[in-house]
Amino acid sequence: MIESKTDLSIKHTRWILFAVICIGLALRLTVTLAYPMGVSLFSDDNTYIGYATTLVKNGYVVLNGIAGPGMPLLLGSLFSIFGYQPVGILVCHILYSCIGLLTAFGMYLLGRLLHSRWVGVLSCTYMCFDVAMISTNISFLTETPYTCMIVFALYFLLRCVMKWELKYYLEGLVCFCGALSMKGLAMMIPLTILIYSWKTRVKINRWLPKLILGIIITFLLFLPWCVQNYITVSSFSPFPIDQGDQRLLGTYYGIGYPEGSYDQAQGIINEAVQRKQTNDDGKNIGLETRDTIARDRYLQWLEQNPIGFFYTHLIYKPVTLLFQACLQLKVLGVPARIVTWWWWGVVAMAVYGVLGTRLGKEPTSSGFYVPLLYLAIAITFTAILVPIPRYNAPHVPFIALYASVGLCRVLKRVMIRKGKKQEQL
Amino acid sequence: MLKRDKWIVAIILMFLTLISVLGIRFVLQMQGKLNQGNTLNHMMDFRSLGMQGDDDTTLDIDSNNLRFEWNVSKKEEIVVQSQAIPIEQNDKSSLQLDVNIGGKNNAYQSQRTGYMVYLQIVLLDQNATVEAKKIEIPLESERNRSRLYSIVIPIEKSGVNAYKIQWIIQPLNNTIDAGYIICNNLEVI
Repeated sequence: MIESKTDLSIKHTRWILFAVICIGLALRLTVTLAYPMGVSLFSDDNTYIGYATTLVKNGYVVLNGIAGPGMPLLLGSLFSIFGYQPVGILVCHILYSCIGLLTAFGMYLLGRLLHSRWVGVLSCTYMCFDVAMISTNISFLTETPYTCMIVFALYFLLRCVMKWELKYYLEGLVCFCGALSMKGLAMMIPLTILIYSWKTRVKINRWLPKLILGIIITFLLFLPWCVQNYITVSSFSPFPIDQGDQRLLGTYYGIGYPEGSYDQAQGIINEAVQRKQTNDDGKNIGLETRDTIARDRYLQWLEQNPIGFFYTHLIYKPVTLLFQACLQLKVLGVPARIVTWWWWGVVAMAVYGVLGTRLGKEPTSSGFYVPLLYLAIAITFTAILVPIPRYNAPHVPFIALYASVGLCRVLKRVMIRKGKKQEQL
Repeated sequence: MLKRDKWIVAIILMFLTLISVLGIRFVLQMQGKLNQGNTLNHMMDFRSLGMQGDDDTTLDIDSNNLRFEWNVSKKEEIVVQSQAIPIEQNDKSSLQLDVNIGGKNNAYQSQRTGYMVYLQIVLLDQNATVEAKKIEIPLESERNRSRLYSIVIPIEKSGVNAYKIQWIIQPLNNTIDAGYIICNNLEVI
């Protein structure tokens, strides 16, 4: 944190945070209670509910490489306490949406660590009030707990690098493993921290033992799921190995992709399924055919139009993803186009926050640009398939962080000008 | 690393190794049972439920799917129900019914259009109704997709030996609009 006389006092910070989080809770309650059984998007959330209820009823669930273990465990824990009958599932929705408030508090901690209490409070406020994040938090999607975990993982691991204490490392590792149980993309966190450690010339005898420890702990924790996936889908991995339709859809999105339509590909898949349900290894013919078509199309794209291929995956898809507001459904009566324009404004303010700080050569805390590094890596990898708006949700906190920095700069300039005018008078 | 930190790391690694070994053992046990033909969920065959509807309803049934349709009606209610299904275990303290239900959209938040849909489970003692519990089924998907609904009914009185499942369609503004319901993955525990 950069000490400054103009920063918020601890007392004011606590009151503002309390008020903001209470209002955030009220907003989430209002939106959730509008639906008799909480929101259903009739999408992946139904799949997770299915896994969780199977886990509750049987004490075991087969994931088939479709989902990580995190969501079934999280939802299963909630359902085992409150049930998944109409009232119970509504209570679970409310508690689930509170994870978004925890994320907001995590953003306060990160903002305070990397800049000031002002930035922390503004980031927290944004996360509590953002309509797109509220719509994400109220539905049973992995993005809500995943975002929470990566925010806290980044916070604790940054503290660990700044101040080499085991407790920060273990706390960061727990959060990282929690995020990893939701999505494999959490691997971007240790990669970011490693790059930061290398940049700040941390000695190898400091970070290497912790890296090895992290690998061992992660391996031990996820081993049971690796074994299950190996037995069921012949893949020794705890992560979802079936990327769904996105992998195939991604070959019809961008610049210079091969000819053909998604419907044509779907026709080929349906024909293959009708001929035979599974191949000799017991693998689903439909999934195999889809993966084969997707792989062939990507290779064809790379061969026929390498410039279009690299431009699409390094620039077009990531930028498209960055500018998509992660709105799941209309909430609080705010139209989708307003949410989108608001989000573009936030991204613009974030760009100003970063560039203004860098070009203005303002003193920054060590690690100030780490979330930016994480964003660059995460957005690029996330957008590799199809840039679906929902996938932008985990990036919102970090963009809000830099937007808060930009807003602080604007407010500072306004106050300085006001001060100068008063002096002249 | 401090000596204290080394001890903490050692304890954590031992604990995680134990958890991991127990987890793998559990997975191998459960997968072994599943490979022998056991299943986790025990879905009921709709064909064995003896489903009956009113004259206004058309039923389409296979092992895991039930679809019923109705036309516009001025009736007080349309009921599609199963026959009496015996409860196999005498010492059950409750019955839980889980089923995925979808259909023609009639709900948006608290607003309803066309009709109201309810799912009811009825406990029977020698075909006489002892207890009943129902929940509303808001059909919220504009694309007729289904979601999980669950009812739990406690069995408090002795003598309950069977149950019946009912789907009840009731009018809004004295009319039941035409519609349809699709159900699958019915399980009673």
